[in-house]
Amino acid sequence: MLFSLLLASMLAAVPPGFDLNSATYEELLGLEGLTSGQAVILYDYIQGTGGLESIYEVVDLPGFTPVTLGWLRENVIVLPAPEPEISSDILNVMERLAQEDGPGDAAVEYWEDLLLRPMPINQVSWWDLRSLDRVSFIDAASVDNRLRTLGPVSSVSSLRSTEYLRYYGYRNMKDYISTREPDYSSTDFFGGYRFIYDDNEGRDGIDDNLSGHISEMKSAISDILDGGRELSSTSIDSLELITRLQSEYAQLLEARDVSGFSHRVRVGAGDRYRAGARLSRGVNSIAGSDLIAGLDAPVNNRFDLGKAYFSFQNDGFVRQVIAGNYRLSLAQGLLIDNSDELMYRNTYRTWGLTPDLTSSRQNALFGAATQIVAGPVLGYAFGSFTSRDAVTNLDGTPNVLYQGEFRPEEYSGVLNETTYGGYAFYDLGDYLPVGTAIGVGVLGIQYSDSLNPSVAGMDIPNDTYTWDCPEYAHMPSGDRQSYFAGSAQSVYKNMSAEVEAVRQDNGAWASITTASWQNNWFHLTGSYRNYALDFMNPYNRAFAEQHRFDDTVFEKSYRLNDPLASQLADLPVPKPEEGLYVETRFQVSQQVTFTKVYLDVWRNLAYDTENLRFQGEVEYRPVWPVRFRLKYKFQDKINHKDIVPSNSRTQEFTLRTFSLPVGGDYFSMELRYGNVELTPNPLYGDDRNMSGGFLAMRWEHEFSPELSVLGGSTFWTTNGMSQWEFEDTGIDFLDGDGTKFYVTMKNTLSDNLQLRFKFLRKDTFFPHNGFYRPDPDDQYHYQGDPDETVTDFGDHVIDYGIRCQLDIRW
Amino acid sequence: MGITAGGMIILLALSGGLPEVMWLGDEGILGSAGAAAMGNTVYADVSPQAALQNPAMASQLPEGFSAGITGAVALDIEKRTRRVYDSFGGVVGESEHSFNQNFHPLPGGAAVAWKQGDLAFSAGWRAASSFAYKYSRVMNDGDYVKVAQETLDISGILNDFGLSAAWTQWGMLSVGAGGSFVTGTRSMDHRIDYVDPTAMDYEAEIDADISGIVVRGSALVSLNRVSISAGIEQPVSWKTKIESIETDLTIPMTVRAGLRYLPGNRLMSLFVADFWWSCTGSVEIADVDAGMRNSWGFGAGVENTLPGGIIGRVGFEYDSSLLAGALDRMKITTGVGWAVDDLTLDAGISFSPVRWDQYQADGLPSFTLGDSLVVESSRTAFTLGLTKTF
Repeated sequence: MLFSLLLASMLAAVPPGFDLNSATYEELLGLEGLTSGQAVILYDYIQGTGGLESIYEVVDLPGFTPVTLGWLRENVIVLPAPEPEISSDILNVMERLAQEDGPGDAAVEYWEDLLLRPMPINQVSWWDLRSLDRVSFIDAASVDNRLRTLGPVSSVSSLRSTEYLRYYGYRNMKDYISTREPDYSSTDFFGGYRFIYDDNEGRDGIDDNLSGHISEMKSAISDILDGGRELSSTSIDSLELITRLQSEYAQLLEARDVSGFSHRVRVGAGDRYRAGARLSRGVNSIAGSDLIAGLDAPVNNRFDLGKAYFSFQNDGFVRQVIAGNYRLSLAQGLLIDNSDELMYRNTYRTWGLTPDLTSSRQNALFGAATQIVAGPVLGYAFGSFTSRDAVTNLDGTPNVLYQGEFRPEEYSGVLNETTYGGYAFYDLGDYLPVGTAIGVGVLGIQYSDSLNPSVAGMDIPNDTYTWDCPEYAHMPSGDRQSYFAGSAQSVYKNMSAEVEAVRQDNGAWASITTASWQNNWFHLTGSYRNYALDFMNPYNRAFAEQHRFDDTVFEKSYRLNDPLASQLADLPVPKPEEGLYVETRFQVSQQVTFTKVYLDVWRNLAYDTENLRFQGEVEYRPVWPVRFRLKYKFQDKINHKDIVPSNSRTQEFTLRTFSLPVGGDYFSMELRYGNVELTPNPLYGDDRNMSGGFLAMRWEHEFSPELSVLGGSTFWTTNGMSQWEFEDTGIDFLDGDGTKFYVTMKNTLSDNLQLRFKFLRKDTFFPHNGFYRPDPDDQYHYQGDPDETVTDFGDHVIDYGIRCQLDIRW
Repeated sequence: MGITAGGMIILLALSGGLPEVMWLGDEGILGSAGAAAMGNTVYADVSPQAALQNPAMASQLPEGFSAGITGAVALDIEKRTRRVYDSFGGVVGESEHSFNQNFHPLPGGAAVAWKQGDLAFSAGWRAASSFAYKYSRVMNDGDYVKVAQETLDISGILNDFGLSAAWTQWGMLSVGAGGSFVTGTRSMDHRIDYVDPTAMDYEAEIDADISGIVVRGSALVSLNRVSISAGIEQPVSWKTKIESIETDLTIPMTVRAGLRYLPGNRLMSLFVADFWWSCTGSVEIADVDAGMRNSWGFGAGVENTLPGGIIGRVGFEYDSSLLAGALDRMKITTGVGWAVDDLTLDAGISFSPVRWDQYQADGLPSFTLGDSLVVESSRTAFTLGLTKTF
């Protein structure tokens, strides 16, 4: 009855300015110009599409006539539906990870946050802006100088005219800054949840090659059981070793079926409080990564990484306090940058203290950290207590710190680490050019057990190889280390200079000096580094050409007691090296640009060998939507050997083209050929040339700003030289001969929900020839069936990958 | 899971506890073809067929009479390889041991529903589970001379005849109840024919009749753009009969939940997700722990109306195995749909690969003895469906 009365009163008259898009279901039912059926259809349409863009859209709805349209035009209006607040850039920013010399995982998460809540530009300083992707020190200082001298800006675009700010730098910062005023009294609650499912059914060659580790482990076990290592005649307890290797082997086998899951929640209140947590399991993670001790869950139901933080911001001189997991990256990364990644030849560093919910595990810091700004002083202080993985000696003592994709129980959480320190910078911008500052820092590390880098724990006794690894010989021993740092930096007009030096408590030094000159059409960066052989800071992520254990015995698992220790080759600490790096970009004309040209000449300080790397890339843009890029890389490396050093010369040619053929489409094609010339070795048939190449294509079609589909395909062939390629969100290694394709869908459903799906299929062919053996005892055989010999065959491996990412925000 | 688990457990009992994964059957297409294209999110599906699975969902069907039908064909490919080792024990590669393809129909279902005001009803038939497996291998001796031909053929279907009803109160809360009678057969023929006429061939045939009842209850809350439903499914009175030997089984309950979210954008997008969990880890056969795991699964999918009116769908599904982690299965799905007045035609395709080592599922029937057999299999299914509102 009441409803009927209400309906009758509404039918009587339509209120002026009646908006269809914001009308309720009952209000639409009450419109005299619509039947109830039309009202239902119209309401469903408005709900489903987010609203009418124009009143004329109704004629496309079933049951709507020109008469209905005429009545609606006379009596109601259509106000535009609100614009979405979430940019599809949040999905795209992840793709920056998959670029050569791309940024790290931690930085990408930080940028995603900034896309949602940009930096208040009128409140920031050069050190805030240095945390942004591809924003140089000069760019950051020029904006800071503009704000200090001319005062606040009313729009981001007014920064465009800032003196010495490149358009490139402006373009890369504009999405992450805004002129909003922070509201520290607000307790507006917001947050987001991200779920990622990552499966690589059979695809274990993505990164660290699980199959390879399994095979190597099995070989080592067989070798020991066959007495091939003569362990019984040495001091090493062969029973202890074989037990360990068999345990690791079983864990590696389990890891093949482990798919990746990640849950991440972040919440905030106003501009003051932040909190977050992450629970995840990596693809092919193994049992050693059991997060909760004593929880005897099947490996597929476990998580291997848990992180959480709470942060408090901007209260007096306290700029930020973080309790829980945090990431700290300061100056040039020589003293502290607790990431699991070492970015090669990285001249753009993310600066600052940020909460850490990234996949970094071995170098994660858990405790408390603070950032203060008191007048001209910018200070950071931090403390952490957490467990660390280590390779162990056979007596159970820790040998060296370990970081690897595969963490056996025997290596995980072997010792606890207490880390503490601070870095203080004095900003001289009031007296000298803005950006000028000097700093001092200290870092202390204390372990619960003494590190004992014993060669006997690594080297296979009595084999033909004589252990020789200076990088290992200078790994830290004992239960504590300390480091002291000094740094200085300045900007003058469009030039900058930075220097950082760190001294270890053993007297070893490391230093890096970088200088740049830039404008819109040219930039030049030079960097000199010198990292002493006995300098080993586990948090050093400064500019480097190689990992510490690249080109060492750790790349040859068959020379190690425990093949899994070969993962130390990926320890993300720079190699002891002295080098000079020069990089430039030069835009010759609108059509021709040398996009990136660099030369790195460095000396391996472990063996005093000289190396060289050069890359040149030129871009030709005949018309605006089409670009061609030709890239050439050359690397000459000398590797130490017992008698005569061996030499490798690598060349790589890449031709790429990008085009935007129609509105929302993007097409790219890449052709690459590479070869390596090695010192001939009779052991490998004196074959001195290896080569490989691929052809990759990618096409992205944008159906609407909310939906795009990307498809890619690659064909490759190799002759000993495996290739690597960047997919949309990751790197892939290509061996043998093969093809692959993948499809990625990015869908922004609403301000609250975003999706990314990816599916991949990869076919790799490995020919296996020459299995004939005249000696009956040396035949190839099937496992468990030694009487059945194997003849030549072709191995066809089919890999599937699926990845689903779901973001819910509120 | 539910009924399929019932089929699995019965077969486990019949085979003396051998978890023979290829004998367990596959879950049928329980919802519409649209749901199949969105990660098989049956519990979030609005269709007459899905209303049998999630009774409360019938309340979301359009007013009046509606009907739906689905059917599919599947291509199963299975490759078995054996690892090749060098004299140091290192893996050289994997050589092919057997390769089988089986193209077969995959029964779907048909259902009708009627909704008037706060009441809704549905009735229909679905293929709850189907058995379709063909295996053939030439057995050679060490000199690659054929000694025998081995074949395994499994066929059959579990039919689900169901009814459900839903009642809506206060416009936003719906409750539903339903039940099914399940009946079907499964036939297995395993033989080895030796070339040597003096050798005795092997042949085993087992035919099983399966029957049972399933009761279901669910509730649904619809809030503006979001609807959430949750419910339970309890098989009761399960029996199997092989050559006059009848066996009763107790099958655990399955908990299910579903979500539909209408974001409201120009693509008229729809996001759906569902989840299920079953305490299959508690199953005992003849008072002995069956050694199975608790099982669970989830699916998610999205639908967008593309320019031109075609509906595009994509989704994925993950189902944990109650037997072994190595048998956990993921599925990627996609599809399209066209709506013309009250008639909707949907097509979907799903792809599901899985790979495991023989030793990872203890007790597999040994088509090869004592070596590390690696099994790679995939199923590609094409689904078609029609829905009509009268």
